[in-house]
Amino acid sequence: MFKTKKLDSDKVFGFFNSIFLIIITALIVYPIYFILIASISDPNAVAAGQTMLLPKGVTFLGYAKILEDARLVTGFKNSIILTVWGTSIAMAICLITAFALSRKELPGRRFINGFFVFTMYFGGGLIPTYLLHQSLGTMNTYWALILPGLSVYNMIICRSFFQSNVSEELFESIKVDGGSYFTFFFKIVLPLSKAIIAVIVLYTALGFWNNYMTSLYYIQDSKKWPLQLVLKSITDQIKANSSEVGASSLMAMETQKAEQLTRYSVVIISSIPVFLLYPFIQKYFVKGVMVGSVKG
Amino acid sequence: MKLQKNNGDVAILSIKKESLLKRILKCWQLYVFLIPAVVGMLIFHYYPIYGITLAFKRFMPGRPISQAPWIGFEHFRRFFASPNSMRIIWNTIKISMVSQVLLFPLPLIFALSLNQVQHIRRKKFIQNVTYIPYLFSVVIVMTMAVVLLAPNSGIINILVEKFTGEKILFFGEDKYVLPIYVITGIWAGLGYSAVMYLSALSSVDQEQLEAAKIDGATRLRIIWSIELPALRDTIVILLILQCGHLLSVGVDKMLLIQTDLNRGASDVIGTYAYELGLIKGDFAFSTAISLFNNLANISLLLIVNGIANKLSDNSIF
Repeated sequence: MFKTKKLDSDKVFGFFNSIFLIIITALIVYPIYFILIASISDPNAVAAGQTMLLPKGVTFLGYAKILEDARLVTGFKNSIILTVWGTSIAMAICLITAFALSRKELPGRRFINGFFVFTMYFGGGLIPTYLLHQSLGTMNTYWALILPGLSVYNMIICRSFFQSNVSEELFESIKVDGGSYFTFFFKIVLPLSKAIIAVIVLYTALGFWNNYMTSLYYIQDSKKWPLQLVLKSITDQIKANSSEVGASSLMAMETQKAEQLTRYSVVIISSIPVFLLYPFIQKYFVKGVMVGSVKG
Repeated sequence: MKLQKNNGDVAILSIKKESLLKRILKCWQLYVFLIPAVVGMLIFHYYPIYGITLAFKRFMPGRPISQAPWIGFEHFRRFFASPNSMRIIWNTIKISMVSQVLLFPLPLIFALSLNQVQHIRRKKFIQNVTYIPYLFSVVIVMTMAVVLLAPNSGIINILVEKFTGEKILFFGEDKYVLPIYVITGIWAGLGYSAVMYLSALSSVDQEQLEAAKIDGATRLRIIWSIELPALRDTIVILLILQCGHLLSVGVDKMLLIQTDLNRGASDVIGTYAYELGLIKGDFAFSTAISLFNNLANISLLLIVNGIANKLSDNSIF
């Protein structure tokens, strides 16, 4: 009697819980799905609301148009260059710094650590940094985005990983063989830390790929714009178009039509790298969040 | 006796001094490793801190900050005297408060709900799918919103028109700024924030769970009495961290929501400082506003951290 009552209430709970989860998941996935099918559908069918579940009048014209758009193609190239260089440099600095700070025998270790952590909470802010780049001549170059790019947060994660996963005996054995810190770092520490390096590389690369604020601040030459800035200017255009209901002139209508054709494919194209990385991210992501939360 | 002790101290001290130099020399390679990061930090993070003095100076184009004349709190007076500024501060507080009050419980509820799923693969699937939006850039998220809300072909406007017969200019009116900001925030961050709670939930004592089940506790009872208390530390720490952003609305996102038509609601401290500084070139005034914003956030963080420390032994410092 008692048991069945409990079972019933659990069943009801389980039922509503499943419905709740299905709705949430659908709300999160559907916009992406909709944009994907709208990107390969006839724009008129999309505008008429006929592509809610399945594509209609399949066409790849939107994608073809994007490949013709010089702005987007250069933006894509710029973003790749920026991400590859930025990630390599940021990773190299992050790893050597984390290694040095992970050695307990380093005199002044706590002070240097505080020196880094302070910058997480306080900085000069927009204008002083902008003026600095102006006087350094790094304006309009990717150096302005790459050089200040050391993430103290990632560095601390790596440092904690080195401390808890690389044993002292290994260092002792290297010392006995006459090896230095350099050999220890390259021969032992790096190979032992592949998992954490993978996580941090993913985060860093994603950060460079998705970053748009610093490029908005420091890259004014539109030929050097990374993809996200190009995308922002396209979005601004759509917003401007849609502020005025009903296009006034024939010209405006024509540009709107062309723009409508590409507006969905542009979203898909810009997120391709994210989708390509997704399997790796999936493998390491949860681990990464957990490392971060352990550090607290 | 006393003298002897002192002598001993001196001896120890001198041994230490000698070995400190030796220790430093022994670690020279580590210092070499630290050079790039330290130099980078000094140039790009510490040097600009000096530039904050600009908040109390009059900026002269073409002249270094050090030569600019001091004018005290003039910029701050100007900022607080203007009715425009009050509107901007109010917008900032309103948007960040509403989005944080709503954004906070949802991932928690979602994580608790997802944790009830017994089927491991189903659970993993939902978890992996729902954090995808977190990987998208703000620009992509907002482009999606702009495209879906567009009056001429956006799916949401098509639905709105079907039911009401009219189209809505979502980016043309003040009242839609807050909903757009909050909903896109939830969409992008829900799955990611839940991961944190889920990993904390996975460490709940299994024996305790089994015991509760045998005692006939319902699932809701288990959530309330076992799982929620297990998340307490995570909740407190995330709350403290959030309070450090109480006076900051994502400039990156707001710039993407802002149009000339919705500025009444979309002007926030961050966008105002950006616009004044980099678009209008009023460097000193912009620095003053940023400084005010930073100090307000840091003080809030410290206050909340202190309170949390007193109440529950949880703090981030």
